[in-house]
Amino acid sequence: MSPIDSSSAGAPSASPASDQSASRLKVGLSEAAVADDGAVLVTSGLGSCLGVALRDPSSGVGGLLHAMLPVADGRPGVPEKFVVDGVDATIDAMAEAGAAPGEVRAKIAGAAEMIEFNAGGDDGSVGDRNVAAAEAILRERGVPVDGADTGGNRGRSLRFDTGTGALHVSYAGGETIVL
Amino acid sequence: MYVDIQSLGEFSDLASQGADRAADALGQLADANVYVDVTDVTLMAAGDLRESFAGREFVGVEIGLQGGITGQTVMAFELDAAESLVDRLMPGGGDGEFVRSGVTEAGNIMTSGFIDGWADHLGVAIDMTPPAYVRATGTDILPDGAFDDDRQGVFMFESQVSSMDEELEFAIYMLPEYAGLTDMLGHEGPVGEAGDAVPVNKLPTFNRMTEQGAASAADNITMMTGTETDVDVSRLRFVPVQDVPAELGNETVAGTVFELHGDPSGYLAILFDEDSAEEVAGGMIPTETEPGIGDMEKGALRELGNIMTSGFIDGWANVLGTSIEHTPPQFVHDMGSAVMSPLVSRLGQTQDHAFIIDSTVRTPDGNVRCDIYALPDQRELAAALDRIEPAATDGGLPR
Repeated sequence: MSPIDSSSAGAPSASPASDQSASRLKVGLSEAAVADDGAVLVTSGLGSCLGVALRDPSSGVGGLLHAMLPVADGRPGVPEKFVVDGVDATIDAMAEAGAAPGEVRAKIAGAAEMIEFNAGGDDGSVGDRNVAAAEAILRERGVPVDGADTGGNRGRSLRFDTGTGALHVSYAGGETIVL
Repeated sequence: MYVDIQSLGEFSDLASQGADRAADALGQLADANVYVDVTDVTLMAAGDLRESFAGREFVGVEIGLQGGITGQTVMAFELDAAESLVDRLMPGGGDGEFVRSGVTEAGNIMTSGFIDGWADHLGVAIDMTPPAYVRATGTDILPDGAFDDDRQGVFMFESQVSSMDEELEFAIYMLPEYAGLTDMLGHEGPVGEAGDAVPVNKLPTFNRMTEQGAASAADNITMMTGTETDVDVSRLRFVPVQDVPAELGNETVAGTVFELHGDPSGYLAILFDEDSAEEVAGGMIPTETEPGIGDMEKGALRELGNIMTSGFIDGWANVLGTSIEHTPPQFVHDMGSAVMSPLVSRLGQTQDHAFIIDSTVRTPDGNVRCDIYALPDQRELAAALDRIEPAATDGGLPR
């Protein structure tokens, strides 16, 4: 564990109750978590995977998805394994927690190309396809994308403060940016 | 004896759900968010389990099962982990009686979650005897009569549990009686199409061959860097693909990744922690270089990875009687879990679980550590194992 303190890394000041008292929930690969109590959602080790942070500012309900592949299309696995299916599942879960689906906004991060594969690379890298899938499904659902940090060749870890909507993106070695 | 991969996958999912319930219960007791990072299934040769458990003290519960699954199952923690867990729940309470009741409670939750799930899945009733507290050293923790060096192997379910809020990390082991498990999951002959079922009696042989491959990879490190190395451990695990990155954690690693083409195809990753990477690369570079991992070190790690990989997969190809080729090395230097994620994304397009073969190479002083992870295509591996000559199997066991 690297002792990065990103609580001062540009988080909006209008969030007095955030962070110190907020609980932290871990989101694994092919998982999503939803919070309506300002919890901080954390996921790590995004390589070619894509993190999609969703939030309805009016209700304060937020969700974070860590998806591996663009779309299920009959492939095995839970909806959260896939960007398209996972975005829908996460928005549904947020609606159940009190979010208005029409008000949801998104930030996305991840989808690096860390390794160039020889085999089966004719349709672009998994990362690129994950981003394209996210942009398409979010557009289709009428969800605006307020920030993105995707591509490149470095892995990322994410902390999504559902209380403020700030998405902290950290790289190996400790560098952090806030979307 | 064959185990079909789909059943093994379902069994692994149920074990993982059981572990999730136990972690939830522990989290409620400890008032912390407790997570299961990964639950894997290992098939170990008896001798390997003896070595890996040697000198370690365990506490747990033993439960007898009748019905859809028959035999004894033990659910265990390492004693140290159980004591510190109980001490966290009630400071100063980490003595015998509380450990005993806490472990019994957690063991009960986990095994009943697992057994209920499995009974639902099979649509049959499974009767459980009340949990009996057990405390033992090494393989004595296994169910009575379940451990026998003449057996082909032992199935072990291992869940890595951690917390977001506290420094809390421990493992929960579930060790069902081998015969009970194979009676239930096993088939006399191959089932379905080639690659649908794993011939489990050949897994220990394969593991042994992997160890030999890792040993030759370790010799290559020694030859190229002048540093003595040994293969510490070699394990074949079966895990949900999405849990593979969690096996590596978030520590920064440096090394090389290869694509394998042939029977089986897949991926091989040779990863060092940063200090180890600098140390071995330094051993290959005749001049002084800047601290850190620069271009010289990258080049050295690529060259080393290339040679290690050749040695490693030649061992496999010999045993499996196939030819396997590898791509040129790709240098990686990032969080371990992030390095793995593109590999599992690609495997995850066609499979839900993955075999991960993990060998650790170390220097005797512990200064250099290298992990070799092989991720073969599951169906191609199962089909290739099926072609191993019985003679190779007989020659591989027992030690």
